[in-house]
Amino acid sequence: MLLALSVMPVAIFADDTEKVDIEIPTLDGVINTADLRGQVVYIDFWASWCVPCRKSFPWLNTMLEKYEDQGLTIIGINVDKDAAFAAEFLKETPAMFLIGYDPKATLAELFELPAMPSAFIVSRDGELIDAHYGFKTSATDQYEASIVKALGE
Amino acid sequence: MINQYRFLSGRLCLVCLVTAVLTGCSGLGVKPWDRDLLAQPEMQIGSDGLRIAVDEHIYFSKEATSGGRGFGGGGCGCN
Amino acid sequence: MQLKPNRDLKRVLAAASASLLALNPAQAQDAWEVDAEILYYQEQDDRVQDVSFKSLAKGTVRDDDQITLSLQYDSLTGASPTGAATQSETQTFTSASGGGTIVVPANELPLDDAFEDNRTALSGNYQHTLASGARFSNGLTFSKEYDYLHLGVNTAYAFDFDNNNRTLSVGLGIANDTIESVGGNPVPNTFVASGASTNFTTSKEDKSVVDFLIGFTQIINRRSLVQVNYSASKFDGYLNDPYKFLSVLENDGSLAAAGGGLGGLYRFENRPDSRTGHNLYVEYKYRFDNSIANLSYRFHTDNWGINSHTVESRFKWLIDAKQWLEPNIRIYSQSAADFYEPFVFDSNLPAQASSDYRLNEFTGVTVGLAYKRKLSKNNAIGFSFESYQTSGADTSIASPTGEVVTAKSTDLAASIFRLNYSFRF
Repeated sequence: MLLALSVMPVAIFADDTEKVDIEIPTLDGVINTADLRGQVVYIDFWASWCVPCRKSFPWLNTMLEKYEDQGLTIIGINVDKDAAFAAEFLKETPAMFLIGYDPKATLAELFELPAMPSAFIVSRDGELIDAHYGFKTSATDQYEASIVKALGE
Repeated sequence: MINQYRFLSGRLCLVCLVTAVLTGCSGLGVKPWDRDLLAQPEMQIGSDGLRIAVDEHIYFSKEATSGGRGFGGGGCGCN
Repeated sequence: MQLKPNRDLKRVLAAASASLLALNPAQAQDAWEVDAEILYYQEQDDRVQDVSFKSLAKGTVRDDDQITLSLQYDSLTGASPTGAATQSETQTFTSASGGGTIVVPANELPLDDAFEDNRTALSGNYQHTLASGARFSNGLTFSKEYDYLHLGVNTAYAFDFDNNNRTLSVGLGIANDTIESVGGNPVPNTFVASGASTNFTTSKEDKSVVDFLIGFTQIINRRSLVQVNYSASKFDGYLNDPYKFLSVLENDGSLAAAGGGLGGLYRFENRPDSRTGHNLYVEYKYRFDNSIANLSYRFHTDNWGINSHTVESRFKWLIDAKQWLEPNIRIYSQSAADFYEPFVFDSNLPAQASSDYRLNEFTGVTVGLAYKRKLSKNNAIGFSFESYQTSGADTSIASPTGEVVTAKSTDLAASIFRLNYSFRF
């Protein structure tokens, strides 16, 4: 597995800016959010054992389909300790968006996740502008509205 | 005599537990992303609910005391 | 590089927490889960036999509200102890549960073999998850036997705190039961006499039950948690077993004569009409890599003078992703009720007495083994066997004239077989 085990010690905000600047290991490299300026980045922390996470994936796929053209990037960061569980989950619940891995919970600690799942919205100019915790199908309108708002800014 | 001893030991247990609960045990607990094992059905309080409920029903009808896990059970002319 | 205090993140987090959503990840699957079980219970010497069916359905609706429905049907037959003491002479008496005459040979435990009953029990519960993540649940319980009706309501509230690492729950249950025995409810402390309908009331008897529970759960670490519950219950009303009576003995231990050619003298039991009990329950769970250990202890005490201790341990060995094997052991011990008397003396009849062997001092041991196997992702089948044995204390009582009469304990040995099937859809 190509998964980079040593996640760079990073801050959400680089020292002298107020921008979200993190490196997210993926199966075939690293995503640096600094390279995604100009895009609205939706960062979703998930785990294979988390039931609401399973419910959120089809919705995330829909959001990507709907807003990719307007500049939405979705990154699902998996926090399973063993990537095999993530692979099994993804087989049952396919994701059309980017998947990153955080098995040592470095990023999870950094964001001080209060719940699973936890989602963060980063604006086009790299600022953290919104977050929501947990996933309820009855609240998806609210989540979508915050994406639309970010895309419009 | 035996009963007195039993009652006393029960009281001691109660005192220890209440103290433990009230003082709180800081430093206990897990981060939300560390709940992989706790999220499994087997780790839920009340997992195997049917099996336990049936056991409890049998004990309810054969023993003088019941309950503890939840409500005392009952609703049965068998005791 | 160091993570510097991050005011912006904190601000965003604070804003988000205003619309805090369900935080508890350990929710049930978003589907219906149905568990069905057939049980066969058999006591030694053809005593009570129970064939039972129980089914439990759990559904998740509206994200994380939960509906729980259960149905149980029991068919009981066999012989049940009457409460009369074993005598060195032949005993003859009228069956309390179905009429007819029972002849018990000398030195044998008097059993009523006309014991037969069916029980249907239903319950429903709706648990609503509030925006804060707290759970509020309400339930109804109902059960009906030929001579017994139970109706109950219960409500509970639970919330998590300390980053969901602690849960506090409180609950209250209220029930009202109605007893309408075959041939009327016996008048406590009256003598059993064939055909003497004056010793029975035609009116129904009532029993009310109030249960209160407060529970605290603490997540200890990634692998373990502990739960502590305190519960109190109060019973009021008719708490007798209408089919149980006591042998009335002469001071030398022989059965007193009823007169009128009716054989021995027996007297209906009389228990206090109120009972208050307290339970302290502790459960600990530990997740090993391939197994789960479950340990629990319960202490009970009540104003009938009964204290009990229960220790139970289950060890679920996850053989592989598809199957598990779980041995369990349970040890129960109780002291006798203050008014427990294996028999009474005609020369000194107590105001309250019951010879129900379940109110005697005894120890019960259960040893069992359960196995479950997944047939597919959403289907599983399981089997279990349990052996339950009790052994009570023999009771020696000195008669008013100083003669010591001993009653042997009434013990039980039961086997429990179960077959269950569960599925999700």
